[in-house]
Amino acid sequence: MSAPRLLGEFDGPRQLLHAARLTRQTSPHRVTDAYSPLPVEGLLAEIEDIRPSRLPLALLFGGLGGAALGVALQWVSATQILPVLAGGRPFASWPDFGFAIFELAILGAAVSGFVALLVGCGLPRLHHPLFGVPDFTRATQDRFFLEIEPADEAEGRAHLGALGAIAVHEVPPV
Amino acid sequence: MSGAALLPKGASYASVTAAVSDPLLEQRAGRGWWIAFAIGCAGTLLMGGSIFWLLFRGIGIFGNNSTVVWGFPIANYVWWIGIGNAGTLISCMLLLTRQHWRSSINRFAEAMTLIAASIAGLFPILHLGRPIYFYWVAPYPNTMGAWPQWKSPLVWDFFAILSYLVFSLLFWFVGALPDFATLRDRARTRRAQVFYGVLALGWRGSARHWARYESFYRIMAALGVPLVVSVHSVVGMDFAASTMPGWAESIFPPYFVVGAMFSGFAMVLVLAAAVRSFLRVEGLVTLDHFDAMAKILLAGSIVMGLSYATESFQALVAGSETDRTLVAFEFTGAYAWLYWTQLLCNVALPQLLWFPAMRRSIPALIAIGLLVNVGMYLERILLIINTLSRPPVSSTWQIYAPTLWDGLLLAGSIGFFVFLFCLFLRLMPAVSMHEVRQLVPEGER
Repeated sequence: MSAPRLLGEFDGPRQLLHAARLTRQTSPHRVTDAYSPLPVEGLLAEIEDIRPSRLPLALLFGGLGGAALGVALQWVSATQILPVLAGGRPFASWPDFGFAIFELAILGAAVSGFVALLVGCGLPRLHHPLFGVPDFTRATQDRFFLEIEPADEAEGRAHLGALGAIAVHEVPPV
Repeated sequence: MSGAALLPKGASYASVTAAVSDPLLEQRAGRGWWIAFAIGCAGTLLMGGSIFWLLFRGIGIFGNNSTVVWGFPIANYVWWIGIGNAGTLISCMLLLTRQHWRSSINRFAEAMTLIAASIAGLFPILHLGRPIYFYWVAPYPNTMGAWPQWKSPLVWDFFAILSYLVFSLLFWFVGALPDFATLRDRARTRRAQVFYGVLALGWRGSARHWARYESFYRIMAALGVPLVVSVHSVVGMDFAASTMPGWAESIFPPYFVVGAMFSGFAMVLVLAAAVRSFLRVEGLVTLDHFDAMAKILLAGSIVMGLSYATESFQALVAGSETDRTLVAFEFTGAYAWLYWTQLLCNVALPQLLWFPAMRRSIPALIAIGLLVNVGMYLERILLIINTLSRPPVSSTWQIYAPTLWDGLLLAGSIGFFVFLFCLFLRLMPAVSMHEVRQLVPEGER
């Protein structure tokens, strides 16, 4: 069994990014995640095993699905189920169909993007072992946490300390 | 404007967080809030009572007559949806154009959108002779074999409002997720922890969360701009798809969109002053914010003036006899004094904002913001009653006058808005904490 994961607590985004970069480049420890009260630019590149998010695809396909639904719904109802002759206009009147298609496309993209966001983030998950870490409430306020999987616990603690961590916590097992 | 200039000197992550969350978690509501809340409650009761009377007696209680078949309810709808369009428009456009000052105003502008758009959605329903059948505009297989008429702008409206409400709710909620987590973590009472904990959905601020959050939020902002433009364009189509003089104008969709942005910004200015006094910090919503918003309001007013001029000019030069009759009626007829007031409020008064001193004076801005909304209400009601009072067949000409119930329902809806906005101020983070934190300069934590 490997050593438990460690959380290094830092007091700024620059320190966090610096620590993540040094850990990945110069130490045997693995950077598994980071927690911050604001997005930190460039941090993602320093975390292991992270794939580029496919969330934009969810929005794209949701949007296309919504548009397809709009086309199908209007075409079927206006030409097959209930054709109403209005002023001699064609039953399948594309300029008029455009509005509902567009609105449904945006609606589809927004809803599927939201679902993809929740699924991708593993939310909703009201409780998480991390919430048991003392001080972790500050991860949403003013502190920055780096989560590493150390090759060896004592070495990992020393490493985080040397990077300027204010405190080092152990991540409780899931 | 640089980010640092928008924050008080010595701002830190902790001070930004405390400034926004303490009024919700630690402090009691001030007297101003209670007064506004009491007004809001009274207005809500008034609205409920008016709606009850409407449902009990029918739409005969309104001032509409056989010629002027649309009146206050439709004007209320257009006015509220206009205010409702601005929040998301402001928030998305300013995000895409990287206007950092948006961070302090986008949250309550979006809340304003949600509340106003929900209220707006009520009016077309209330305006129906048989409001219980409003769901017939929704497409669903039914035993009557009836389907919506897709050539009708009313059906477009249904889809536009529905999409817009869901979209705005998701955009607002996702933007607020990290702030709900902050409130959850700062809350000391069990009730607050559970309330904000459930809303936060377990947000931990993980790098993985932030990556997805940012990707979602940016794409939504990019989708939001065309969506908002389409929503108010469709409202313009409600009029423009007809053949009435003064309505069948190709300028309507963009003219309506600018009008929405204009009235919405005016409302945001007023609400910004309210938020600023509620949070009791001058630091997060600064005079620079007011200055920037006032400039946009001024630009909007110029475009509105140009639109009004184009409308009249086009009718006079290229229009038919009925168009010219209508323009003469607008400027000299029964409602002319309202039309001149509209021009005063929407075009003339905002020109004061050329003066830097006016742009930085909160009382002046509140006054201009409120008057612009009065002017925009006049625009919407006149748009309806001018045209309908002067249809092409002169034997049907009639004058419209609103009844007491028209006024009470409008006043009630404004009270309901105040009520919901007060609840928002008391329960939700009114300023986006995680976005303002990004403006805190590195060295000054």
